[in-house]
Amino acid sequence: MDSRLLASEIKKLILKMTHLSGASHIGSCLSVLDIVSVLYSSNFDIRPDNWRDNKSNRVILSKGHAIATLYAALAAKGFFPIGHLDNYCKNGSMYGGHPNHLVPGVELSTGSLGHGLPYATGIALAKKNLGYPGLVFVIMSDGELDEGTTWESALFAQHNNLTNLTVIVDRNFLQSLESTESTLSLEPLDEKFRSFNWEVETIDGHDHMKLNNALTKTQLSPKLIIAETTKGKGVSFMENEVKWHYKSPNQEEFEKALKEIANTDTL
Amino acid sequence: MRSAFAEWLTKEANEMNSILVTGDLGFGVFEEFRRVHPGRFINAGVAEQSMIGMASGLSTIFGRVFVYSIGNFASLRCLEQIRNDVAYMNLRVTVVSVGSGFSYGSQGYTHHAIEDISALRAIPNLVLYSPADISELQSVLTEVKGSDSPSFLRLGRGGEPMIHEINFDLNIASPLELFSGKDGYIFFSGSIGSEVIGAQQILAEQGIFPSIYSCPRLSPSYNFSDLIKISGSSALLVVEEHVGSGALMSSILESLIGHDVNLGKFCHLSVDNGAIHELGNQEYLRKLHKIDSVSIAKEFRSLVDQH
Repeated sequence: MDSRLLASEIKKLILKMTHLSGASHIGSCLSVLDIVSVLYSSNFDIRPDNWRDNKSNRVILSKGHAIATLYAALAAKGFFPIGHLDNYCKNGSMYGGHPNHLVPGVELSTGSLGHGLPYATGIALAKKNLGYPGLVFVIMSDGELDEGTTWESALFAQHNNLTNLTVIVDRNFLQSLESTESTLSLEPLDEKFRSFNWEVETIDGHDHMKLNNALTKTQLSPKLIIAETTKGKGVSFMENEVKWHYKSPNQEEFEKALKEIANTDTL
Repeated sequence: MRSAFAEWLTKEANEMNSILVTGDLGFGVFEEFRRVHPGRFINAGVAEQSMIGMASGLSTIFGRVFVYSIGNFASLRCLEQIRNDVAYMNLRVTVVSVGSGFSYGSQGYTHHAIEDISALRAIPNLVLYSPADISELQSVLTEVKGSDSPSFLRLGRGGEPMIHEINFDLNIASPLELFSGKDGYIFFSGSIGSEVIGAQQILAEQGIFPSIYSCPRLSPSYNFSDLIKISGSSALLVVEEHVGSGALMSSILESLIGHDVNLGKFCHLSVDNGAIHELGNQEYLRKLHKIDSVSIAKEFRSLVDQH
């Protein structure tokens, strides 16, 4: 499926999921949406029948709070029936507010930040040592980079020359309470990772063509893609507003958001 | 015990398609393993948290991954990684922690592994072993090899006296009876067993003969209800090189819930929380905390006298 079509489908689904469930993190879900859409487009060939194959591309959503986006992408790709999304964050459901590996297509149960990258380095190292093809992609939030395991793994990945490991940071500059730079400043982020001997590329994280190009270039070392994004992207009243890290759209907001995206997606 | 583990893994690594990951520890222990299996050895550096996550990822493609470190660095430092990445994911990862209890006693409190059992016992899916000697270790390793479950091995530092005959096929599905006696019960787990055996010898000279059980598995808990049929006249003593809460004593009492067991007088010897700042070698600290053979014998004698 084309990434833009997938993105348009996911956007509607996640607004509905967060509205119906009253669950949080819609801002993060919209921020990471284009990254997920590109990774689950046909270019990367991640399918229900091959996602566990050691020779396939593997995706780990380390910023687990954006799971609605991944669940929507997986449902749209046929990993499970789309109707299951109605159970999102409902009592007794396995589709909770953070990834659960019991759901087809979910590699790792995350939600505590800083777990995805170490796990991915293990998969990447195993693939490399056994000569298996396929890349390992890790989607992280920028606030998540605060975790010590990020830097432990950054050392480990370059030391073991994991040229099959790509981290995409959803760089929206907002974390839980305020901006990343007023919390624990990350800049200059590119220089930090370059000094760890990583390749770094900074791109517009909502531009599918640029994302696709950055994700498919041959790497000579582990790679960090700083995908510059807007939290709440695509819904005017959610963009760059910290409160949409926590709030879910009520009926009125839900309808307003759907109208907005209907207009933009047909432009 | 660590050397026995290293020898075993050197022998079995190919068959299990295993990888050994170390947190930059094991000097003098894994040289032969590295020589025989250079491609199966990974030094993750001094980075225990990412090491456990990395090992989990490795295990999705390789066979069982063994992760080696010492004391609390292999447990408390990376507890959430063990909980989420290893145990909840139900992966074939075995964490091997050397230096149980006061093994590294003179190195100070940071090196005293005395709260790990309580923390690890609480984690679903994780099988927690605490072998007392080489025979128990070998029996545990055989079980680990045949299992798909995540596990944790709490080992002594080395040089533990044998408390069993050489037998690499012990039935560790239930507590192991070392002595059968008429004067009550002593339970222990791990390398503190040598002190209990010492106490047994002292007690025997006084004509007191407890039944003694070693408990090489701490989680899932054994069911002690069939074993403990105390009618009010038997003494029960639990000895552990660990803080009092959440470990073997808790495991025994929890397993009795719902069973018609009439507990008699029982006692518990464990680490004294009031003396945790003290340091010294293992022998010194065991005496200080009254979990050495003389203290154990004295406590049991007093327990028997009260009955």
